[in-house]
Amino acid sequence: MFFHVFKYGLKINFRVKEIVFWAFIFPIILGTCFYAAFSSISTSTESFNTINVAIVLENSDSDIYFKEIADSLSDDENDLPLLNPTYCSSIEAGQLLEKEEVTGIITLSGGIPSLMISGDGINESILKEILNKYLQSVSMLSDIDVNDTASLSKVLSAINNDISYIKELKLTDGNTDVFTNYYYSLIAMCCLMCFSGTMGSMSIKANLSSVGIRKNLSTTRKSVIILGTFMSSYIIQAIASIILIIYLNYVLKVNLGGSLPLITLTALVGSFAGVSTGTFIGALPKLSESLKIALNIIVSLFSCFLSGLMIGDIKYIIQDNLPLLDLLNPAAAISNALYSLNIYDTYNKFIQSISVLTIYSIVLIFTSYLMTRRETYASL
Amino acid sequence: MQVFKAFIKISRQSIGIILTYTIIFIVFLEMMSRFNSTATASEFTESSINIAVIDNDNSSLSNNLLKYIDSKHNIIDIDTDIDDIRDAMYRRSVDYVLIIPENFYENIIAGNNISLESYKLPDSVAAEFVELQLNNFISVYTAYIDMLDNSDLAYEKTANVLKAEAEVSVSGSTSSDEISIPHYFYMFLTYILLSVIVMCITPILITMNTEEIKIRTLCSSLSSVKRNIFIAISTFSLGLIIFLLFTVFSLIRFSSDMFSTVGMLRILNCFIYMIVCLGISFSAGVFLKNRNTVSMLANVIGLGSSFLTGVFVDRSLLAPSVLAVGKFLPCYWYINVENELLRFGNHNTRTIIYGYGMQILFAIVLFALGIVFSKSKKSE
Repeated sequence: MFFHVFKYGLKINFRVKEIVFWAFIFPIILGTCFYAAFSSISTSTESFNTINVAIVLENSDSDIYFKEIADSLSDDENDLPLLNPTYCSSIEAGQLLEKEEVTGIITLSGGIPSLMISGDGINESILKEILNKYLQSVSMLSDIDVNDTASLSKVLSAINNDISYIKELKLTDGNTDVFTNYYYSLIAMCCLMCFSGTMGSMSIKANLSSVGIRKNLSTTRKSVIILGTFMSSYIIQAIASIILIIYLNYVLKVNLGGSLPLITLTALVGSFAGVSTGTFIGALPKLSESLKIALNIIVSLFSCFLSGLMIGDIKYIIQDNLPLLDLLNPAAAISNALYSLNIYDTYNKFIQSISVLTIYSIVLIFTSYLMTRRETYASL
Repeated sequence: MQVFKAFIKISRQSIGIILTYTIIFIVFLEMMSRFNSTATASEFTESSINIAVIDNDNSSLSNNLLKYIDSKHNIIDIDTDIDDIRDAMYRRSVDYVLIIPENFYENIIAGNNISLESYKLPDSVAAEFVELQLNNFISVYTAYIDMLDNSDLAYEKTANVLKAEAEVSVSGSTSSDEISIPHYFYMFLTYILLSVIVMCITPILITMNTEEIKIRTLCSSLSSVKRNIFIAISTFSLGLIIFLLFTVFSLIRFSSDMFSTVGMLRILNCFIYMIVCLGISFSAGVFLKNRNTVSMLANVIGLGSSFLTGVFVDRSLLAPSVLAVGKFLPCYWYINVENELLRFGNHNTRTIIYGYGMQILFAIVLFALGIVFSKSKKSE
């Protein structure tokens, strides 16, 4: 009988348009929107790119020194060069700046370079720093006795020195793009927005539908009906979350970080928590069907909001100020589990998040069972 | 009149949707206004980033280096645990972590290889900037240590040399980057207006177009033309009420900005977009048969056009391919006008008129689509 209930539960779930749309189609659409909007933000705002700069020379001896420095900064065989200079007249330079084709204009006047930019920014600050270094070198040279050849050679070696004194340590093997958190919250939303769980649970309620009345009258044990309905909802939710992960990873090629089997495991445990939440809401007594559906949306979306689905920084505000809420929020637990797979070398925080989700699910399933079994109705 | 009354009666069901969206919109707007209260600076401000320094040397040199960093950037306290460093860098509360190793000072004095250590995000422009400064500091300092053999004097000289800074001017010819809150309001209003109009009006049109109701009305004394005219008037009236609700709010909330030429052009832009939204609702009302599918359509069109045309994410950050797709959406032309109005005074009137025209064309196409489909349905 379990298989019968399970089979028809699956059939119903796949035929309800709302379930198919919200579980399968909507997360994919939202994921595509995230990809369209976020995929190039980090590259354009955080990554270093060669800075285009217009240089206006003054046809004097100082031109040669400055040009030499600018050319040395624009020629890096191993890495991206720092500068891409365009030597031009001041009128042309002004036009380039206006068209935003260059970050700034360096003008030499009396051997002293000055900078014109169109606004604040880190690239503009880098340009200023290059000019600072030039002026500081001039200041160093003017500070020493030109006949003191030993000092002169030390100063010149310091000026021409482009050695880096800083060794980079490996931060992590994972993806440090801050926008991956939106994809984690999206996976959490896909797991938790479980209409099939609520609808399945409501279909057992005799006060909500005629199907519910029939199911209550049948000789099948309540626990079998509950388990069959629960499993059919779970299968739908698990398939939906796996399809989303496959879509993000293989179609959009989003680097989710961490190993794919463990990401899938997180989605499976998350879907279990989602179906448990849906079942719990569906099992709540004395609430109408529309109210239960609305409650399902509110609970899942609010949970995802706190995990950073709409505004990424909310997650950190909650983590810093209400850590207990972050620990117990199912969407945050899913997002944190995926984050820890991406960033950390150890699995402690991943296990902690998975344990929270499992305990949360067991508590809700048990409570739902208690609310549904042996329910009697005075009047229908 | 009967049709109009019926329309208004059904529309009462939508008050909840209007209120929910309005409240979410206003809360979101207030949050945005707190995060984005930027002003245009006429003077250049050098970028300062968040740096965490782990000083394992604690020498006079490392303290002086810290003092130098502090004068340029924000020093952030951080735990030395690698997972805490990863967390801080992932959430961008720290942009760069510098580790000053033990015996750093002794190594410099002895002329040994010096190596500071760092954690940074991949290809980080912030790291490039700070390393330019740190390397410059160490080159100058080591040159003076070599020359003077006195660490205090070397630092004093280094500090003096580093005071030399280039002159920077901000070009007056470029547009202001100031983002006004009314601009945000009218940007995000596209999503809200589209969602509210589609979710309110389309279900009413679906109901009105239901076979039984349509036939019943047509066999009454009311002519088909009159029925359609009343439906058109009712649809437009409801759209106008929704439009006025948000416009009046903006006139009260941003009175100083809105009672101006820019404000009036914004309202005109929004009015034309409202007609586009009515076109979408009209077509959807003809195409769709089930009221439950309306929220799916509203979400897909609303979120899709907002992400693809630069409503949620600034256009400068979107990939060109995304914007190329966005051009096929009316929202793209609305945002074009809105962005042009942002630099009013230095604006291109053609862009504004072109934007209005494109939206009107989209509206005509949408209404035409609806009429053609409605005719073909009628002939069936």
